[in-house]
This record gives sequence, structure tokens and C-alpha cells, in this order.
Amino acid sequence: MHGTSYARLLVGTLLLLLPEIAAAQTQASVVKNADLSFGNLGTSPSAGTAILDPATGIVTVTGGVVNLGGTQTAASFTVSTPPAGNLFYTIILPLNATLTGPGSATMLVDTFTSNPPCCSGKGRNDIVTVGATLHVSANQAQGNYSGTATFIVTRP
Amino acid sequence: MKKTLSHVLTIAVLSLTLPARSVEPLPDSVRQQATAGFTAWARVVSGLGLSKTADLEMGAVTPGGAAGSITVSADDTRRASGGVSTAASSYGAARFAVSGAAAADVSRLRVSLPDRVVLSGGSGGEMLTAHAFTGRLVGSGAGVELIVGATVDVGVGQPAGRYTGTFTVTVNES
Repeated sequence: MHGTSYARLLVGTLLLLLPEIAAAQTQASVVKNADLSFGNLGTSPSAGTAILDPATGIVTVTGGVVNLGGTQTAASFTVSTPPAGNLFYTIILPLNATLTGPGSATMLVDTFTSNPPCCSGKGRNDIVTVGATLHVSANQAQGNYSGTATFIVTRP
Repeated sequence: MKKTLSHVLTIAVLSLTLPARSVEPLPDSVRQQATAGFTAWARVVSGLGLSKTADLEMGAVTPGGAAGSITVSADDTRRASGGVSTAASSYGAARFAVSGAAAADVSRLRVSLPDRVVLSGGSGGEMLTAHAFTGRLVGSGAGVELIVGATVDVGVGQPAGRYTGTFTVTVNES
């Protein structure tokens, strides 16, 4: 009868732990590989934009902005889906972000884009890159600018 | 007695595991979302500025019995060739101040000069052609200067007078 008691104890414990294990297997995880960098941009008396393509990492400029090279990279993330279950996930990109620079100078980043654009993953560990559009004002103050944003992946 | 003991054990197990279960139920929307923060970077530097500080002055020349040319080099030397000879006068290469933080690295600056420029003047309607433009970047940091010279062809019996033309130079950072 002692054997029966231990068996009941074991079964009770397993039943209570199962929901925890099931929940862990449906989660995705995201790891950042690289930040988003627009590199060096020259200003002029005209406003303009710098657009970073997430697929190529290439920056194109409009208006009075001059592309002066430097480190230009799309943000990069590894999205891992659980070993069991489907590959489907949804990417939620930031609406915008504010970069702050010297003094009280700021620049707005918006129109975030990702590659792949959305949803169903190709494998268990996908690389997703993110680009965006940076708005540079006329005679934007010189200096280094940075700001933070959040990359989100959800699973149904 | 043994049956009673077994009931006691079951109750004991439940009382140990209940606290763990009370932590587990989170809303699905929170539990199935993964996030990663990242930083967006940009460096703003001033664009290149270019302003003329001196015109290209070829000086006075005397036409001869044969066509020739007059050259003012980017090192400010003057030389006549063919039937043309120099006459006493002031002359000098064109000068441009290159400004902007990006001008700090002179080796990355690329200069574009005109191919040919027409000078007009004389006693009316006459023309000369300037060509073979040469450029030289000197200095560093905030003191970068572009010096430009050229060659002007002068024909036989070229009418006397002052001939002028306008040219454009471009500096890019590669």
C-alpha cells in the first residue's frame, strides 16, 4: 500500500505541472542581433529624409539630406518559434521613435518596415530585419542621435 | 489505519502544489508575446560648403604670328606656348574654400572640373576657349582649399580686349 501512495503522489504532481510545460512550448522568443543605424548624414538648408531598406540595408535620401556613408545597418532580430506547433507569428513594428541629439535637438523615425514583412515564419529560427524612415530638418543640428524602440512578435 | 494515512498524503501534496498553480495563469495576450528593445542611431554632419575666394586670372598675353596658348597652373605658375607670349600683368589660379566637417578627410573629396568653357569679349563677339582645367586640394580640416588652373587658346590676330567666362566646380565626398 505504500507503493499506491507514492504513485498517487507522482500522478498528482505531473497533472499540475503539465499546463506549465504546454504554455512554455507555444511561446516565441526574440533576440536582437543588431541595432538600426542610418550612418552619417549631411544636412543642408532643405529638409529631407533618409530611408533604410530592411532587405538590403541600403540608405536612400530625399530632399536636402546627403548620404555620407558610415555604418548603415538594418536592425536584426532572430525570432525563434517553439519546437512543436506551427510557425505562424505576427510582427508588430513601432509606430515611431524619437531620436535625441545634442542639446534639445530631436529627429523623428517612422514608417518602420520589416523583411520579411509579416507573419508566417520560414523556420524555427528566422532572421527578421527592420528599416525605417528618418526625418531630418533643414539645418539639423550636428551630432550623434539615438533613440529606443521595441520589436514585438506575437503568436495566436 | 492505512487508508487514512493515504488520504493524509494526498492532501499534503495538494497543499504544496497550489501556490505554484496560482502563479501560472497569465492572460494569453501577455504570455504569447515576445519583445526585444533596440536602438536607432544617426550621425548628422554638415554638408560640404564651397565658396570662391579668387577668380582664375590668366593675365595679359600678346598674340603672335602663330596660334598658341596661355596656361595658369594650379600651383600659380604661368606659361605661354606657340606664337603667344606673356605680357606683364597680374595672374593667378582660382581658389575655393571647402568647408564642412566632412571635409576633414581630404582623401575622400572628389573634384569635378569643367571640360571646356567659352570666354567672350574683345571688341565684340569674339570668343576664346578655356580647357585642360586642373585642380589641386591643399590643407586639411577646416582649412581645405581647392586651387584651379586652366589653359586658354589664343588665335593669330586675336582681337585685343578683355575676355571673360564663367565655370562651375563641384566637390563631393565619396
